[in-house]
Amino acid sequence: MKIKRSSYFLILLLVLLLLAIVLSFRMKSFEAKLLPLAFAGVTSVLIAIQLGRELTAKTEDAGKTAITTAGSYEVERGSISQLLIVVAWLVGLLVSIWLFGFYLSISAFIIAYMILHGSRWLETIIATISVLALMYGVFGRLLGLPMYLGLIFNMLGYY
Amino acid sequence: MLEQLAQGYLGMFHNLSTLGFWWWLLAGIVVGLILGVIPGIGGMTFIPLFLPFALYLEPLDALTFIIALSSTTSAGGAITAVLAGVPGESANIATMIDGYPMTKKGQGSRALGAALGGSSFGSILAGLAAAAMIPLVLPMIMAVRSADMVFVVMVGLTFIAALSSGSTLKGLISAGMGVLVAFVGYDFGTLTERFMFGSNYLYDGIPTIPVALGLMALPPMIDLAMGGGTIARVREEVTELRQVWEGYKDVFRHWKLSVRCSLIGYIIGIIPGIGSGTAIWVTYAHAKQSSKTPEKFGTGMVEGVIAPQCAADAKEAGSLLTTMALGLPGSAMYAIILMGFYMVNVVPGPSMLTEHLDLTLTLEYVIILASIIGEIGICFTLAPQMAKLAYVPARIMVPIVISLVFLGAYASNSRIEDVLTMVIFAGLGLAMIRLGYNRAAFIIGFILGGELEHYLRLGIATGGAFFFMRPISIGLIALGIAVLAYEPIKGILAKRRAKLA
Repeated sequence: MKIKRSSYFLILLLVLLLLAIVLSFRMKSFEAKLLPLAFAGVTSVLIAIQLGRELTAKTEDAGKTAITTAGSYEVERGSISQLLIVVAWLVGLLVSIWLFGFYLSISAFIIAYMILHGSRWLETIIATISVLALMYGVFGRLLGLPMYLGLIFNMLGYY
Repeated sequence: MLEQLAQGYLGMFHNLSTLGFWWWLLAGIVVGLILGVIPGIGGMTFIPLFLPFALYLEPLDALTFIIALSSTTSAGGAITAVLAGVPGESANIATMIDGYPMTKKGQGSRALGAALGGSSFGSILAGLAAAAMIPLVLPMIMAVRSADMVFVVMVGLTFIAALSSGSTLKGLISAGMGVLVAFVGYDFGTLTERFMFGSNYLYDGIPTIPVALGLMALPPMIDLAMGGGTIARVREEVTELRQVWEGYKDVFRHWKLSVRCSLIGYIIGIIPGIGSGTAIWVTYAHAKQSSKTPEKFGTGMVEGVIAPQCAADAKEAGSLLTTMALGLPGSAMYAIILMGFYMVNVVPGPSMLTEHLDLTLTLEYVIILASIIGEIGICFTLAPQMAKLAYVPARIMVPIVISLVFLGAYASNSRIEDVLTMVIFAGLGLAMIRLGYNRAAFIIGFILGGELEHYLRLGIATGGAFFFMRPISIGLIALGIAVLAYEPIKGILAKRRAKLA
C-alpha cells in the first residue's frame, strides 16, 4: 500500500486535531470547550474517513504535469526543485526582513530577483525605487506605519 | 417597511452626492480593471492588501472601493481572454473559448465589445434585481433570530463545502479546520485561554489579514514565479472601435439570451458556495443548447462570449446581497470582502437591511455604476491599451507583488510576527491547492467561526438547551442534511442502477 502525499497531509492534520481535542478537554469552562471539541471531533472523523478512502483507493493520482482546478485558478504542477527555489526566496526575504528590516530587505530582494531572472539594470532600479517610494510614501507617511528596521539595527540602537 | 425603504433610498442618494464616494468608486474601477487584465493577480490578491488602509477610511469609501474593484475584475479579465487567449480571471475561461477564436478570425474588436457589453448588461440587470429584491427579502431576514443564525452559518458552510469544486468531504474538512483556527485566542466570554500555548501574540487570535494574504495572495505568486515568462504570449491588435460598438449591439440583438444568462448568474450568486465557475459553464452550456448552430460553438460564436460574461458579472450582485443580508459569503472573494466589512466595523447581517439599508442599497448600485463607468466608458475606449498589461513579465510582477504582500501582512498590526503567520498560511494554501482542498471553505470557516460561537451562546442564553426548536432552525437543519446526503444517495442510486442494467 503506497502512501500518497495527500495522506501525509491528512495524518499531520489528524495529529493536530487530536492535540486540539486533548487541549480542549483540559479547558475548565464547558462553554469554552464546547465548539472546539465539537469541530475538532467531527473534523477528525471526516479526516479519518478521507484517509481511509485514500489508503484503500486503487487508482493513483494523475502525473506530474496534471492540470488541477483549485480555488480560483488553474495550477500546472511544476517540479519540486522549482518550488523549493521559490520557497527559498520567500524564506530568505522573511529572514532578511527580521534581521535588516523592510527597506533594505525589499530593495535587495527586488534587485536580486529581477537581475537573476534576466532583467536589465534600468527596469530593476525603476521597480525598486517605485516600491520604496510606495513603502515610504503610502505606508510610512500616509498611514504613519512605523516601519520595522530589523533586529540588527535595533541592537545598534536604531528604532 | 415602505418608510424604511424610502429612508434607505434617501440615504443612498445622500451617499451618492459625496465627492469621496465618486473618488473611491473611480479608484476601485481603475484598479479592478487593471487587476482583471493581468492574469495571475486579481481581487483576491489585492483586496487583503487594501484592508489595512480601510481602517483609516470611512466605511462607505472603503466598501465602495472594494465592491467597485471586485465587480470590474471580470470585465478586465475578458480583455485578455478575448485578445490574448489567456483568461485574466477564472470567470473568463468560458469567454475565451469563443472569444479568442473570434479574434483569430479578425473579429477581435467585436468579440471585445460583446464581452464588455455582456458584463455591463449582467451587472446592471442583476444590480437592479438585487435592489428590487430587498423589500421581498426584508421580512424574511427580520424573522431570523440569533438562534437561527447558528444554523444559517452552519448551512452556509455546508453549501460552500458541498457545492464548490472538489470533493464534499475535502470541503467539509477545510471548513472545519477554518472554524477551529478561529477559536485560537483569549475567550473573553469565559475568561479562558484557547490554544495560545502561553503566547501573547495569539491573545487576540490569529490575525485575519495575514491569513487572507497567505492563503489567497501568495500562492498565485509562487505559481507565477515557478512558471516564469509572460502569461500572454501572442499579441493580437485591436483598433476598430466601430467593431467594438457592434459587439455591444450584439448583446441587445441576443437580448433574450442576455436576460436569461444574467438571471441565471444572479440566482447562482445568491446561493452560497456556488462560484463563478458554475455560473459561466451553466450559461455557456445553455447558450450552446439554445443556439440554432450548436456545432459552431468553440469556433468563434458571439453568443458563446455574451452568455458567460453576463453570468459572471450578474453573479456579483447576488453574492453581495447574500453576504450583506446574511453575513454569508458565497465564495473566497466574498469571504475577503466580508473581512473588509468587519475591518470598517460594519457587521453584515439582518441590520444591513434595517439600520444600514442606505449602505446596502448604495453598494448594490456601486455594481451598476462601476459597470457603466468602467465597462462601457473606460474599456470601450482603452481596451487595446489595457490588454498590454497582460504582457508584463513575471520577473517584474512577482517580486513587486510579493514585496507588497509582505508589507501588507505587517501593515495590519505593525507586528513582524504577522509576516511569519502569513508565510505559514501561504504554505498551507499551497498544500491545499496541490492536494485539492477548498481554500474558500477554510477562509469562510475562519471568518465565521467566531460569529457562530457568538450566535450559539446568544441562542442558548435566550432559548435554553432546545433553542433550535424553531421552524426556521429546523428547516435549515433539514436543508443542511439534504445537501450533505445528496451526493452519497446519488452514488448509491447510481450503483443500484448499474447493477440492474
